[in-house]
Amino acid sequence: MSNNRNTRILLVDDEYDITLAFKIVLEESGFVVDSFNDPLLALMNFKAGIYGLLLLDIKMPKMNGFELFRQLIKIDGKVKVCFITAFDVSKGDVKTGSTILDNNNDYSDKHIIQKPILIHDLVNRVKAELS
Amino acid sequence: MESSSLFHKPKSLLCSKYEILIKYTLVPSIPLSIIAILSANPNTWMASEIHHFYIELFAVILAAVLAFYYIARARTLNDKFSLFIGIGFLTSALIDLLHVTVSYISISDPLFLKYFIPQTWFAGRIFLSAMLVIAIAKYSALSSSREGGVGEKQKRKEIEAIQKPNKLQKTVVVYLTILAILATSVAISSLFLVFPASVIDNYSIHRPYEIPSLVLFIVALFYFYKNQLYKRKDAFYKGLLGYLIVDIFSQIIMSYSAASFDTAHNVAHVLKDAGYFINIIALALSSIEYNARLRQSNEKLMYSNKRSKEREETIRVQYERLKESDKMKNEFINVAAHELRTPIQPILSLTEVLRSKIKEPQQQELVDVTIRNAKRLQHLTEDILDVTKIESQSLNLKDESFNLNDIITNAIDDITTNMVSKKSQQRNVIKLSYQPHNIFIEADKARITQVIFNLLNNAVKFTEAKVVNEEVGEGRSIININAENVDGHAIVSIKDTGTGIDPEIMPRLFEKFASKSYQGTGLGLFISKSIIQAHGGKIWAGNNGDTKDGKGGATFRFSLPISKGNSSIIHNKSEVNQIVTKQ
Repeated sequence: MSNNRNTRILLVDDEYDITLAFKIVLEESGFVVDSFNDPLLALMNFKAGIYGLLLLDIKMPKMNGFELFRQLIKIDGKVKVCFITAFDVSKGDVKTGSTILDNNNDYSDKHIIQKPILIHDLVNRVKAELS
Repeated sequence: MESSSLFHKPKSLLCSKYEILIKYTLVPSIPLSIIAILSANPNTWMASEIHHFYIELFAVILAAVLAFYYIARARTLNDKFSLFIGIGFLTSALIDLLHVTVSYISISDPLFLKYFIPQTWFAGRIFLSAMLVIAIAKYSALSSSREGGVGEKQKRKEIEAIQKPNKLQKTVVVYLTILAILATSVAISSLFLVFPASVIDNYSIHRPYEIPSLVLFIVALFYFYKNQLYKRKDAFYKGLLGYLIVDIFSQIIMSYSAASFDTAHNVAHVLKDAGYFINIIALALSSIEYNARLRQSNEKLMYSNKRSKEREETIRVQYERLKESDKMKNEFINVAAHELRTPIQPILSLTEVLRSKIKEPQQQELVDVTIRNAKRLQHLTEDILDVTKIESQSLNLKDESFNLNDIITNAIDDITTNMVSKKSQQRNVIKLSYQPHNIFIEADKARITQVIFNLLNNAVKFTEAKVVNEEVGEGRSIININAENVDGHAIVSIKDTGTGIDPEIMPRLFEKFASKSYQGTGLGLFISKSIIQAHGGKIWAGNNGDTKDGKGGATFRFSLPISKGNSSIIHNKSEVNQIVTKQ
């Protein structure tokens, strides 16, 4: 737990309940979480070198997670990313899962967390992404 | 008279045999008989050589036209029937030409003509009548395929004729050759020979040689009826029928011609011309009818073309619509999946967080119920989405090569961990026994994992159910998992010692909601079956032991085709036993 303490996570999801739940779960595990429900707001407040991991929802209004990541990586080229989605990713349905996913094949499903996820699994995934 | 009877309406085409017999044979026979009686008086119509010349010239021209038509028809339609009639007319025309030319040249020699004219007439008539008999008796069936209303008998004949065409052809060539030689020799020899009894002066039948061709014409008429040619729709056949009766009378009348250019002689000649004329009229009518039918069928064809184009268009539009609705359906499934999963996330996460903060056992239990049902809702959502995908045929498989052993081991690990964390009241032991086999297959890893997980989960749940309900002795609750390669197929079996399968459920075990485990959705086996079948495999189940009551538990098996050239099995001797002890 102690080694999570320094890690700051940027969490962006348009659903407030999701950011709330994830924030609580991750903070319980010792991470520092900044959450936004508006991708544009997240982009405006983003600063390089602060975050260890970006947790970005894929389907969001105004700007999807992939677009947001493309903007964020311009500011911080080293930041790690993990996308979160409620679309199908793990069962071979990526092609039909969503057009957003289809158009962003370069982000393999290795860096995609599928909702809903148990808190235990979420924490493990985040730790795995950081290591 | 005969020609007028040829003008019939198409709707009366399928007349009965007797109607045709009366209309085309008996009725024409009445005026012809009267003519025959009148012709008995040789002095009624006396003509000269020159009259004979013109009448015969006329016959030559008509016969030539008919010969041309029939032979052309035979060539175009590959129709032997027409060929024989054509040859008959052609030979008749040629002999008549000789007959008329020589008799014109020899006008000054009445004694020569007295014999020459009947003999050459005989030659032409015998050949023509023979050709008609051959055509009608033997070949009418062959040409029947193009015509409607063919009797069973003829169909049989047709088949027989097709089966032995060579034999038939040879026979006919022989007939033809004999007849041609006979006719030619009669015609040529008539120039210098007087045949015995060719003209008998002191007998009522003055020209006995007319009798054979008369018989042949009658035979032709007989075969016309026997072979049911009257059933043919074509006016051509009616013409032939009319022509035959006229020719028969022509022969009868000629047979009692006492001398050249007497009444009978002249009338017979005129009747011959009339017969030819009827034939030509019939051909003309047939052609008109044919054109009318062609136009009719063209119109039908155009109409059906138009209809099929319309149908094509309708099908295309429907296909587009279907594609569109399919796309919309898929889009709907995806959005529905997204929207159903999203609210489950905060419920699950926050209740789990809440659970860890609560110390009061009674409150803990309430939150546990919430967590359990949130999970259940999550499984149900996934299962319903899977079923929707299966039923809308949008279950897409992402094939990759992997070791079946890995996913079986992982599933066993997951389930074992789950059983440990569950803290059920169960006092007994469930042992998952598996002997690892490396089997590399090419399939959708996540989907196969889903199947294995589902079957294992069921095995555990039904075994637990038995443990809870009955007193089961120590070490008897074993789930045996086995994977093997049998003839290029990976076969995975999961044998439990649970409550078994209800024989009543057995026939529809893999249907939706047929059976349900505790906290299950009732969709797992249906989804598993669909996934395995989508991979080209099979899934089946049965109760263990001799009895079918399921007291010995059940075994579920599935097979999957192993990817070619990539299959290998490594036997690992160390048996991995997962022993789970609860409380």
